Amino acid sequence: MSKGTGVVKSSALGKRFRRYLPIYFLMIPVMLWFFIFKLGPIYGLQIAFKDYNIMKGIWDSPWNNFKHFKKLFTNHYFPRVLGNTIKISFLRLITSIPSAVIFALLLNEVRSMLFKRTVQTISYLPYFISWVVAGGIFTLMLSPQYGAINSIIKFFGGEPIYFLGDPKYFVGTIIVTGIWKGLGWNSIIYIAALSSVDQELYEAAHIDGANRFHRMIYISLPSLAPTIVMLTTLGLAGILSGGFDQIYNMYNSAVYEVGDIIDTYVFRQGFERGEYAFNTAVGLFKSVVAFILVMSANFFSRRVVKYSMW
Amino acid sequence: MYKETTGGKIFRVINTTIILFIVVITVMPFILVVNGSIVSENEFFRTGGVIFIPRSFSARNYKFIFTEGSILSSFWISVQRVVIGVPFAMLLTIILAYAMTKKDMPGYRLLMLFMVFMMYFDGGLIPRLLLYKDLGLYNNFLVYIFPMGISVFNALLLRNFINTIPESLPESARLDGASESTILFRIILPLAKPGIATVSLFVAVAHWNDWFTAIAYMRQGINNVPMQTYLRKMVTLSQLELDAMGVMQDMITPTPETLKMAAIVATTVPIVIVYPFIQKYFVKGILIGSVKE
Repeated sequence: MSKGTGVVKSSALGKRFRRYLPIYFLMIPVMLWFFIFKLGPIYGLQIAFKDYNIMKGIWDSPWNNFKHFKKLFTNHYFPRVLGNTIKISFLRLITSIPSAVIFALLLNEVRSMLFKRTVQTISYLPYFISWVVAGGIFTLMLSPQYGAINSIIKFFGGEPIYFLGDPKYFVGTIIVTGIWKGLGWNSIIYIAALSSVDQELYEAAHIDGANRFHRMIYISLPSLAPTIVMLTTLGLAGILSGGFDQIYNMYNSAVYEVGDIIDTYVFRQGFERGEYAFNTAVGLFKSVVAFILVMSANFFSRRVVKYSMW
Repeated sequence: MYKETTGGKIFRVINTTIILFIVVITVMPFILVVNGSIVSENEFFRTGGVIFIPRSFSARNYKFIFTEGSILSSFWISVQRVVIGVPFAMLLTIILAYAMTKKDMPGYRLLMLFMVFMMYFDGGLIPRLLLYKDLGLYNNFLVYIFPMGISVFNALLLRNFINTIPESLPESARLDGASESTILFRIILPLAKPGIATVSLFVAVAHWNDWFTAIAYMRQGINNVPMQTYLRKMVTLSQLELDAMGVMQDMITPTPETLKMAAIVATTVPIVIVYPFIQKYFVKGILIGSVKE
């Protein structure tokens, strides 16, 4: 019997294989692209374990017994950038999710569809501009000389604040401007989740004497719980990222002690100073940890909220 | 519905006020930058950049930028990128997305596993630089095109769109003897047009907003870089460098702040113009992408 089904299966397999032959054929350039542009860098990754010498090339540079990885943790800068990265990502996470949830809850209470649509459209706009533009706008607005914010502070008799040049203010400024850019966009998924809440729940609560604020807190908010858990998990998985685009376009050497993150450090040291091998090791460390975090996050979110990224 | 109570009214007023406050905060930076770029030098200094309603007008900043000219060559680079890069990326993305809808295709599970790995695997900045140098892409226009070929995320998005097409349509074509490639190009593609439009816009905006590729993989010059990189160079220029630019053009350099504002406005106008038309596609895309199976 087992033999029989095996034969049937394999002939069916052959038939399916033949049917999908054109797809396999079309997939050749796709796979080629992945092998060159996504897996290709793996070849260069070996310099993380070598004393890279441009003259000798990637292959012929000598192995160095994990010297760069040992240096990672004895190096003065790495613990600092690792700490900055985790701190900034964490602050982002605990501010961006609540602000997006609150914005969605507020919008959900709006009865006029036209008003709601207009507000949504405006709120997504910052997401569509690059961090070069946003960073440029904020650098100008926050400048202690002619920046609008400091002009207002001076108008009310305060001392101008160098938001982007003072380590005391830099991280806060990064977080707040990050919220400015992402608020509307991040709220989309919550607004969608709220629109699928059963309206009868609100009616029933109303009859039981709940006012609108109660309904918001006891019906709307709990219905967002799975989405919040999922996005928090994803955010934790991305904790080693920290937002290169934003920071690279807003920081300067005066705030490296608080604002330099792994990605900006690797880029600066690797590209601008040509320390290829050590920074490849730093990058590899980050990629491996990030990969493990993403996989665990997906496992967790699949188990807990029955949602999986793939 | 039910009658609104006094408490309900107060709630609504507070709610609307907070929302309007958020809207003002969102648009104010844009308004201040536009106003700062068009008012006279005098007004800019007098107000310290806080200009809600412009009272004077001067085109000096825009004149300077457009006379200097590299903004136009950068604009052209950005346009070329979008025009060549989007079709290239879409061709690969469509094929991959379609293959990912074929659950009974031998090798399907392997393909999905590979793609999940590809989605989160990152070779790192420096290995990529070494690779591009080996491939001859370093300092080559094609570095704007090839590396942005496929985003697995976009392919998954398009796959979810294709999955909403009723299975009966390709099935009946298959019974009529159509091959898988005929089904893809003749049946799936026309039906998946909204999805393809959405993902194309994702790719186009990614191309338009990419400033990093030129900084990392092009030799530093201002003539072969796209708009965003041009802007980055402009906003980080010092007074001294700006003055040198003015001397070269035989023009008096405007105030750096307002000049930079004009550069920001000039590079952002194209996206703000298309934005109202494309944003609903983006929202649709992100929602379809988050639909679980």
